[in-house]
Amino acid sequence: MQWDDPFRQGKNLASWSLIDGADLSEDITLEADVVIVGSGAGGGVAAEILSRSGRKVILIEEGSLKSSGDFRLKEAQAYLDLYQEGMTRSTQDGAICILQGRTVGGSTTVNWTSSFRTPRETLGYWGSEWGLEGCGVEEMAPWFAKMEQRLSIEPWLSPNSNNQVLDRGCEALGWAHAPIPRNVKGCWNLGACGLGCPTNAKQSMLVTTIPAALDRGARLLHRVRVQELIIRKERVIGLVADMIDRLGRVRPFRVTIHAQQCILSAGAIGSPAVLLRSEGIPDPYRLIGTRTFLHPSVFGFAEFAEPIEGYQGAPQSSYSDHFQWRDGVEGPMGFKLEATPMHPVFASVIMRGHGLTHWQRMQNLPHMAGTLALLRDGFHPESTGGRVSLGTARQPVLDYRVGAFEMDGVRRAYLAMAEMFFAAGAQKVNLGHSDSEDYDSWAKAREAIAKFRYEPLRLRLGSAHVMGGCRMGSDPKRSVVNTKGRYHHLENLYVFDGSLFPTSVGANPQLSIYALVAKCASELAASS
Amino acid sequence: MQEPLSRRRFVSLGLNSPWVLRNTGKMALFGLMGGAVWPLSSAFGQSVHGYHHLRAQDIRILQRLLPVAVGWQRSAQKGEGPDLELVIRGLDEMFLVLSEQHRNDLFFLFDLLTFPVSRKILGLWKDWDAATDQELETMLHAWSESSLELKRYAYQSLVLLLQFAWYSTEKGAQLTGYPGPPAAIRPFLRAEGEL
Repeated sequence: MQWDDPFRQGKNLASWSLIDGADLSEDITLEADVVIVGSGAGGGVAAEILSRSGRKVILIEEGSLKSSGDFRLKEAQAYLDLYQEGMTRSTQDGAICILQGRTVGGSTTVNWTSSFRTPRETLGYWGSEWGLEGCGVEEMAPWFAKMEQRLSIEPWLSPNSNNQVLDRGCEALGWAHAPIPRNVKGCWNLGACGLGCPTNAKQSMLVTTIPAALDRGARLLHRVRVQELIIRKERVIGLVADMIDRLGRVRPFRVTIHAQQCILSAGAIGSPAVLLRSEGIPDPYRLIGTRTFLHPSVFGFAEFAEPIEGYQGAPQSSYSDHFQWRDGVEGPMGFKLEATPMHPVFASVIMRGHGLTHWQRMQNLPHMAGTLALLRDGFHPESTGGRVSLGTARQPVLDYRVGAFEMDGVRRAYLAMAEMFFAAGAQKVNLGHSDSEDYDSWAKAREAIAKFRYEPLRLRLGSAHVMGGCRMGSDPKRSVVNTKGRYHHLENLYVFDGSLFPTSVGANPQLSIYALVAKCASELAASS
Repeated sequence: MQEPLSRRRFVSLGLNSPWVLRNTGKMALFGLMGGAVWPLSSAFGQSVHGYHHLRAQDIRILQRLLPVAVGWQRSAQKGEGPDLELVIRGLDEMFLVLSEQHRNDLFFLFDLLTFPVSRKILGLWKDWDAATDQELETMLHAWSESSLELKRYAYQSLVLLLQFAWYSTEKGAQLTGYPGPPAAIRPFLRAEGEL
């Protein structure tokens, strides 16, 4: 059956090499041609391509191996098991909540399946401003097509009521809107994408590239957290990792891996952190971890007379880029409008507030629509992003300041969301800001939004897209890796994940990661 | 940079120094505001059987703050709602996955809310047993509205956690009208004893 769990009922399961760091009781040393750190969008694609080329691959994941049989559609269990820090990760000042997967398959196991090609404006900007050669629209097209085919990516044409609200509002206002392509096959339309897909319809790395790599002899180590690379002269000769127990604590046993090639795919917080922890890492221009981008996102809510049930059906299937590029690529911050799923825990935390007001809003959950705006950071001189550094326990810390430039984008996004909701027939609208009341007309909302206090920690800001920090480019003075993804200053170290991007993408980034990594990994596979 | 800062250096750096924020628990600054109570240690306090992290005084604080933070105490459904102990046990589980920094910040906040001097600085003049729900709500509101980013940080990190734990319970979710997992998948969940 389609929903057979490949990690429980897979036909080749007996031949797969799976090592759980919680199970071993001694230090181990392994050897491989290629070691890949991280099993998300970048690591999964790289593992499949490199194992198909005949290389012996080891894939390392700090989270645990959970698969469809474990996905019970219970929010708390899913967030605690499958997300970094139980979905409570945040920027250093606590102002932006960060959703990142921490499980085999990484964020692809828990994302909402939205799969956009990198916008042509973004690719153009990366070429002209950041020296990304070979990544133009024409050159990337076959890689997007290849990954769209591999992961069954197609526009989703049966939006749930929550996404229909977005369509209706945009239509009434004459704002361009369109269906979102999703990476699903035989989707049951359950709406549980963020909790792990229980039917394996979502074509995440967990059910596609990772099983394919395992079939080719790749080994998967999970509950193993890489501490640092071992660097000798101009080469990485291997890495050292800690085993993690079932409660997420570091165990007293270590894994040492020796490999010819090392690939970092630990995401835009994890990959810079591994580099920064590695003794002797050459970083002459102090670029590692800089220009980290988030698509900072803000939320809006609306009550409708009819049921919306935003927890049912594909969470994101409609979007509007009406405000994305109209003020220029480098102008005031553009944003993308999308829907947000409205499961009780998730809805409760993205609605800022407490007490009776919060309670009453939650009591209307079945009639409440939710939307978000992804702010496109990194394209304007004032939008320099954040910086990943190491804390006192050598853990990654992301310092990202939300200043006046970003807040101007937030204000315009609130206006757009409120206007869209009223155009769609909302009875009441509120925004995820402490100054927001429930407004019953667009005029009242518009007047109030202008007067909100736009300061950190007065509004709910979230990010599910961490990007940058190891940006790609041809100039070693301005970039961390070259246009093949190879670290500028070491001959056998590569970065294959969202940290390659010189700016944010301006769209949900999974397909951008898949395609760019497919290109880089194929080039590496073709090299001798 | 790794050793603990002396209180003297803390004072000289000032409340808004980003350096302080970068290298120490944010909540430690509240201790400064309390003067005599910093540094406090989370080592004191009575552990409670069956809990990984929360101590008796933390549980007392949570029992009072939870209904106020989610708004249940003033709602028409006051008679219903999840078992508070269940919610607090869920919170205790959450502490396992928080980052060390986040966990330390929250423990420090619990400590500050326990000691009379620091509790008053945070806006609560009475003991937890004596304070009314209205007084607790006033305190949360003042944190939320504060011009001090640290108080807003305390508000966000605590309230978010309380709401997370509340709506994680079946009863908490049901009260919103959420029907649970979609009908199509239920037979398969039930087959494994999950419903």
